[in-house]
Amino acid sequence: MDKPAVDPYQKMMFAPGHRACPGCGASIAVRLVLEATGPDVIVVSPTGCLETFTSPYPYTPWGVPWLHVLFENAAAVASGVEAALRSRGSSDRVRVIVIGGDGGTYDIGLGALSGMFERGHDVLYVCYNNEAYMNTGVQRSSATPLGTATMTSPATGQAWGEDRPQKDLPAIAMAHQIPYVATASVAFPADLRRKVKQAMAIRGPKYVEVHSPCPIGWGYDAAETVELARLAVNTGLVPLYEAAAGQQLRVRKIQQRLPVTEYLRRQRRFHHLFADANGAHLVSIQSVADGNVNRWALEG
Amino acid sequence: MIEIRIHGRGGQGAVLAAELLVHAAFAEGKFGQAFPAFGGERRGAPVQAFVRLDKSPVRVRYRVYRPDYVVILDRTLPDMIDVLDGLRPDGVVLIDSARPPATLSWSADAPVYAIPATAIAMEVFGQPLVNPAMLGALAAITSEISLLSIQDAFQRRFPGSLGEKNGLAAQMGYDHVLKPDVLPVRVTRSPHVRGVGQASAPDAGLGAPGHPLHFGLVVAPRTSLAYPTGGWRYARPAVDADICNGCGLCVAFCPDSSLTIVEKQAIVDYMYCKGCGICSKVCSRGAIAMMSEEG
Repeated sequence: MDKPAVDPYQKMMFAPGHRACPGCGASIAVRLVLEATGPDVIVVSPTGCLETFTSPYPYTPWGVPWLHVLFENAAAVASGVEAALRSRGSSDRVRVIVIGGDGGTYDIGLGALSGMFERGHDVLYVCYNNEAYMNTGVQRSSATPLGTATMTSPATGQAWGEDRPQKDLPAIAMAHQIPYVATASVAFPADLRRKVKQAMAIRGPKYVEVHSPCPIGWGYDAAETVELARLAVNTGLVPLYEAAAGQQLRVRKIQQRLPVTEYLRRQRRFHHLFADANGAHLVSIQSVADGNVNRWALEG
Repeated sequence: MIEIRIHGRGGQGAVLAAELLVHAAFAEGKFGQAFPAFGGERRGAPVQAFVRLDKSPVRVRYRVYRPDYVVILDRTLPDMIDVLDGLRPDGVVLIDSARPPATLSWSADAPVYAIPATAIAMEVFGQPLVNPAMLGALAAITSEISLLSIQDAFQRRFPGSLGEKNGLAAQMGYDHVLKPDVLPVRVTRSPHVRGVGQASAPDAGLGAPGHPLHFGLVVAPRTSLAYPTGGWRYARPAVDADICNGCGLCVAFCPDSSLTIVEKQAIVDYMYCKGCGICSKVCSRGAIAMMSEEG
């Protein structure tokens, strides 16, 4: 195939040439988010994979203004950028979004995020959740699901990987009574774009989380990123919903629910769960999915 | 002291190869060191690993700039970086390739051994794990390290049948070099094309003479378009124009923004496509097949 005559990258907000691993879920998430926000945004990113693979000087894939700040203060810096835009009278024209990973959001940046929420800044915070610290070589975060083997939650001896439940950060965001919280997945681009558009239509703090598989950290073939993201949703492990002011608005129903083993067995990080003695842990993880299905009424 | 530089791609095992080589040397009572060099790049990007072997303790701690041996685990790498940079005049090159390369943009003349390591690995493992065959071949060429020590190093790292398979692949690489018709081919120097993976950016770091100190940097948008990541690819997506109806599903899922729809046809930009294969999996019509880059 010849290259198209028109330069397809002329106005692209997230250009190729970035250095994410092949099959990177976060890259898909970022492009889809920017397609929904349009070009009139300033993006702030904390430290993480996204920062590392988009910033080897002087190469940048960003087609919108982008700031890299510390792990812990992306939400605080975004608050400042938004306040500056307001004071310059350009907050109607230019909006502020944060795109960060689960390490910078669930763990290290949580205090600043809470502050941004409760001060009511007009910022959309997007967390691409790949469920561990991938940039530094797969260490567990508070977004790491039950049973996951990581470098710091290994499955050796009696240990069966992460043995604490995943932190429910969307619920923490909802508890701030902010006007919009949504969960999304790279497997459902139209749903993700709609949620980001919905968020951008609202003034005030918003939180959108995008479940983003990581081939390296999860241990699967790079081609299967979208399939795994879809399985996570269709097993009930990743509920997709929207909420406003602490109340559930709508959920994405699961057409045909699959057992969690369909999702787990395809990833190296869960292989230890399939050793005979560990059958009980699969039951624990299935009950997490069942709990999600009940809580969000994902079926029917 | 002999110095070895191993060129590979992230995830391919160049770092492991260097480590095992030194472990093999330890077992023979020699001294050595192994360490890698890579940047913020990810799986698939070019990486280097360095090895020094000696009969006495190795005190120096810098990268290998003047290698006696260059081991190239991926034959597409010479198109991207100058793998022969600094090779000693009597230096030898080993490359994973079925036949000796005829035209490569290299900076020096060099005797080159082509080792069919991918073919050996596919036979032994069913996967392109090229390390053992390359190290076995190196053992046959250098006499600095024995095949047995290398096989033992693999066996210790991968106990059981995987270790045995590694040992077998090492033996096959070793045997290949000892075949009477296998001789190094002298590949002549040709002008090196500064291509993928070579920063065209300022060589000097911030604060160097003539380069102002910054605490914040502003670069033009989309400068990454000057960094073609297509060289990371192992397999390329091929779109069947008769089947593709231009629905755009693949475009929505491409992590590298390397697909566009032009006149109801998906077009892949091989300049950037890293060959992850997501497009092939998500295509509802099966219009995209993944073809091996090895051809």
